[in-house]
Amino acid sequence: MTNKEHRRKTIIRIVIILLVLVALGGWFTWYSFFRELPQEAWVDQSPRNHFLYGSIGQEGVEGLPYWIYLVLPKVFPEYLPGPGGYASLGMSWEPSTPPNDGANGNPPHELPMGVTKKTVGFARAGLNCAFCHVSRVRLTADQAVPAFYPGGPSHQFRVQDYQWFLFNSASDPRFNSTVLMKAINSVTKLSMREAFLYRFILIPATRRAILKQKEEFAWQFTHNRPLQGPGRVDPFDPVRFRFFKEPDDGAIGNADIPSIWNQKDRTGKSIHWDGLSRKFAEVAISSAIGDGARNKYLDVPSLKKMEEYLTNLAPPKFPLPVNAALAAQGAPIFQAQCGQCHALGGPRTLGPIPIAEVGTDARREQSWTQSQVDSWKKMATDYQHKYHADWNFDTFSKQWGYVAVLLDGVWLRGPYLHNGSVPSLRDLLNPPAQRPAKFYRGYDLLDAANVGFVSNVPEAGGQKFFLYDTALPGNANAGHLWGTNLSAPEKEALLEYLKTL
Amino acid sequence: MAQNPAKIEGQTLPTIEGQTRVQAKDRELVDNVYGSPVDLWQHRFRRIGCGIIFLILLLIILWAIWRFERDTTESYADNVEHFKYGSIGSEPGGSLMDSQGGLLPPYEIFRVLPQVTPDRLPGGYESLGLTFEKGHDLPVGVTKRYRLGFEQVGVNCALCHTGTWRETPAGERHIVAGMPANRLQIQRLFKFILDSTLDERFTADNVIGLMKRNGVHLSWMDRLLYRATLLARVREATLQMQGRMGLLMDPAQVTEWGPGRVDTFNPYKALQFNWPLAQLPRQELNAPSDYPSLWNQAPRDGMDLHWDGNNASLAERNLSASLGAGVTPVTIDHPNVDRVAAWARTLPAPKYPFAIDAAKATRGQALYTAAHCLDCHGDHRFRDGVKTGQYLGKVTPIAEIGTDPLRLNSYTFPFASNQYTLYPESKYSFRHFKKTGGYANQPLDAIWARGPYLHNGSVPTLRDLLEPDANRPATFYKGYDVYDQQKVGFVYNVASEGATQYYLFDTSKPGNGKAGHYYGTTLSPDEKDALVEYMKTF
Repeated sequence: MTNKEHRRKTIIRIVIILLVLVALGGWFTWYSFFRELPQEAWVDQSPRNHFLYGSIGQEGVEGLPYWIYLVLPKVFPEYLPGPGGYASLGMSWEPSTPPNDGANGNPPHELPMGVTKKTVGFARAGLNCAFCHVSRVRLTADQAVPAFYPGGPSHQFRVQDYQWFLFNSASDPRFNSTVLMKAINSVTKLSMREAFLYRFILIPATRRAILKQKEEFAWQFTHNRPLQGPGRVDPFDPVRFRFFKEPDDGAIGNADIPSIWNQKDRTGKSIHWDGLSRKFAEVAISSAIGDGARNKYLDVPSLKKMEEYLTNLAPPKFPLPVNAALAAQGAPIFQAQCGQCHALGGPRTLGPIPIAEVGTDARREQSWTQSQVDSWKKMATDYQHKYHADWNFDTFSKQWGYVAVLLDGVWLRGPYLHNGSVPSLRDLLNPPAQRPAKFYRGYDLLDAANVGFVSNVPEAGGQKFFLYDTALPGNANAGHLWGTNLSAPEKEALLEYLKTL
Repeated sequence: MAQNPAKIEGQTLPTIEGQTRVQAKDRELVDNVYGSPVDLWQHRFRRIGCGIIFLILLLIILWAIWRFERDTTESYADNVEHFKYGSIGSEPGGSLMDSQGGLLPPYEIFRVLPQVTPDRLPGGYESLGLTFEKGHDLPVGVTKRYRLGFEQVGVNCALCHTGTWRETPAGERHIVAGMPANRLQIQRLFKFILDSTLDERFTADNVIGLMKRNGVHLSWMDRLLYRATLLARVREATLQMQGRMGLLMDPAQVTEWGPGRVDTFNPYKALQFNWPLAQLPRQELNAPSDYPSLWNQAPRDGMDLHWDGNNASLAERNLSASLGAGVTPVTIDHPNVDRVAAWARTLPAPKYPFAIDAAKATRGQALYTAAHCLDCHGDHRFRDGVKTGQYLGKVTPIAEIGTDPLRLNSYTFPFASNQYTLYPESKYSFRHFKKTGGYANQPLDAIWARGPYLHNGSVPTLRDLLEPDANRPATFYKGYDVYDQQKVGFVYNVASEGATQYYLFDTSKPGNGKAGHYYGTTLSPDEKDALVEYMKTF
């Protein structure tokens, strides 16, 4: 055997060993961080389950490692609005209706509605459309369990507080492996591999990722932007500042979370408060991207499934008796006063009404700009090139006003106007000067007499509500004067009729 | 002495062509240096020395594993003994670096604590209503388990579900497994633990010194560990408990629980979820409730369990109660919990131990049915698993039953929601808890042994319960276990017995209201007596 041969053999051996190591390392990395498993079977067992718990692809990009998500409220209760864990943010778990067994197709309830669990390498908690689109309502203050209506606005859910709960927790020095592992170990026994991953990789990496996002959301507290409060979000500014890197011009896009049921009556019509799109699929995809379902993880088939569910999802009926005679008197008043813009098939229904005419707060409409239209369209082109996407944002456009929305299930959609500045329909039928200047948001108790939610109590059942101030920028309750000059009996009749929609 | 250098080196040198000559020279050199007898011996010693050190390290590791990783507990062949003294895993556990669960300090410390701060508990644990039996150094319901390197103590189901009664003050004390712990003052027990482990007298010198005086001899290693870590750990655990639950343990801040009662869900909010209790409405924290009985569970499966009927699954109710005893999803001993649960399913309800007037009871039975008691509560056959009464085990709305609402209100919808996250990702995960709007109609098997009555123990005897609100005692003594055969319940006008002061229960305090449940209150006194006589047969 020559020296050269020997050296060659040695090199080959080393190369083989290195290759095996790299392959093992690669497999471990893939297995631990990228391996995608389908969700548990019960999620897909009904369209409703899928809407409430189905993944839209958010987990792979912005999902929290499941066990961090689970223990965080126990470690940092001081960053929540009050006692109650995630429930204090207005997140809701489906009430138990035994037998609630995953095996029977019913959710096992570990997760609140709108929170999804999916394994991408490791189990991750993400969110989907139901995070903001499940209505919760009680008919009496002592009603034990509220009723839930998927597709309605989560008017009690504090989206911004949820974000800042995460941001503040990650900023706290106790967001470290020692403290979080102790909390995790108290609820579950991790395998050695998982424990290693959590301790050395996931916890530090999650902290960094949340802190990075905190930087990206710093604009929320510049330019004296008011708090969003429960049931409201700024839908487009996050994408605009985080991804399109547009300069912070002080825009305020705060808007009430809308209902998304009954899309069949909206086909081809304007969607979003300012009518920036006319196609629900585009709205669903853009919302999913805004929520963090991005790149190859964006699950368009799942969104399609939700769209199918929402297309025929009927708006819920008013749950209390309606005075039929009075409502019948209200019907012609509605047709005469409101029908043009709000009746199904009305000439201006589901189209944008110019700001000058509607007179409501302009900030939301101003926050959507032509440059964003261009950026979104460019994004769609990028997805087509990179991921062979078969969708686009062709109907996106800049509009100059607010959409005259369809009023299906309007009793459940308070507070009213695009910015949620008027607590009840009765208040909306009053001139702006008589509408409440300040009121509380977040209580899930139906105000049946005024149609809306009870808005005059600061707290109930241990829960403190959010004081909404119409004097703050973007919060004005001006405009939409239609119906304000009706007589008192006419207003009564009209209100009764509105309950039936 | 010619030695093969290759052997000494422990390896065979390569003999590659071209290097042989150089290597031969090297080898010669090596031979010269390492071949000497001294070096040879040095080498041998080194090898032996390394071996010995390795062995010692191995032994230390094995010892450490044996010492700190061992998880052993006594197992009792007898079901009742197992119920009373068997561990359900509520002792601190997890791992040495990361201990989890548990409510009480380690065994030796638990035992010596009343002596460390004698003024805080002059009567010892007995004065808190804990029951000591012959042959046991721990009271009923307090368990021992070796974990994390020490004998630890925990509590089990029997702590709150073993009661006592006496026929006369001088009579024998009967200990009944499954009966509500009518004398136990659990709030004071925990307050004592919190206060005395934070007391300045809780030092290693005091603790170890008192143990020595009691005849407990610690090894030097134990003494070292006590001084270096254990006491500090106990104090750390106490501080955490104080921070989370101190408010609930303080009778100046919340209605005192007194004997036979516990606030079921508020400690849970603090311990399992770390809710800041101080931010909850104070009313929500005044929710002490009477211990229920544990016998005859089989026919209860599927009924609305807990006083407010918030769960209809026996298994979940048991696991939930275990959390209250200090287990965590990782430290719980499922086989032992299952054994107690299986035993309690068929544990017979104890028969009324005194004479019953059969004729009177028969009259009472007719009244029981006529006055619609049966509709909600079933009858005397429930002890045999016969369910009667269409509303048995169902929730009656609070507006209708009219009893104190605070216990009901303390179980909130957000709390039920949070409970769904317990025992996560396991077959035990909770999915049956629900917020209700009233109190559940309980079956009345062995109701004679379950006084005081109503969910908050606000009415001392069955006979008093048949009186309207105004005639029910406004204050009465609790914790005395001499039986009152006339009124059915415990004698409640005895303030003290020897050195023992009984607890004066005040129905005017929040959560203690005696109002409501006026069923049967309009019967004549004779009829009421007959009704009570019939209920003795349950």
